[in-house]
Amino acid sequence: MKQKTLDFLEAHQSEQPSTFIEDAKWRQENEVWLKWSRGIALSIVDYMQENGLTRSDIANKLGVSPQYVSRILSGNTNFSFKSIAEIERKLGISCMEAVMA
Amino acid sequence: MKFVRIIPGYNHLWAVKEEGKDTDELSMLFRQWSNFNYLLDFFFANLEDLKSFFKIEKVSDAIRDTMEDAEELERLVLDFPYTEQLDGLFHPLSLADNRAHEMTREKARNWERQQHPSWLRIYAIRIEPNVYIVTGGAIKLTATMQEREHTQKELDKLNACRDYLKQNGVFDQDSFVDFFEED
Repeated sequence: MKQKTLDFLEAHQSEQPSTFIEDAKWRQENEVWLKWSRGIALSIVDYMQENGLTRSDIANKLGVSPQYVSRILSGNTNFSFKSIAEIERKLGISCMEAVMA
Repeated sequence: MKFVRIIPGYNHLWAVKEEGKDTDELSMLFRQWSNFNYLLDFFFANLEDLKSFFKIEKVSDAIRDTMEDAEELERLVLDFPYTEQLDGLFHPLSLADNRAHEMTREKARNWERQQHPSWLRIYAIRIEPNVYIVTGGAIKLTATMQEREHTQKELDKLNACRDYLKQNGVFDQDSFVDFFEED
């Protein structure tokens, strides 16, 4: 790399370092349970699309706030078995089958 | 405009870091591509493009596909700077960029993606052989970047970064060719 280019980039370097390595490491270390969490969220997305529902509609059906639905749909929620069972019962869907498939 | 080195100790890969933003452009991209809520909103908003260009009907399939592809692309980005073969990951954005020698606009994607061509793009300015500054990226569902606002914005960011570097005298040679139709 040309010294002139490197000097320029270093002179214009942000004080805040990149988070790329740190973020990637976190995603890789948590890969398995994140896939399970996303599987549950994907089942809800299918239900939303099939029935033309919004996050607010899902919130009403579950009896929770839309913010809580956003949390459920974040794909990185560490669900309890109890909360999964509640989602399945109130929406009439089966999340766990899709996750384990 | 500020920059960050992506991998400490390696000078090949940099990214733009805008003031006021939580993180740099490359880190932001992978946060978005692993953010379920972001992808949900994006694919519902761009469902017609998804159907017409990729023949995918279900938003959940698009989200799953994006997350898997992003994981693979992330591994490529992590591996390539160590091998000093970034030129294998990035390709010129257009024929005009292919002809230029310096400050070319480039795109990276998972070139070996199975099922269908990857719709994830990382955009960067190639400042020297194997040296890149990432300016952003996008989920590109259309043939050209000009067709959609979110990809046009990325094209503007590429041009703004290149102009900034030129204005600050980093490069001696004017190799700019104003042609931005992506292949």
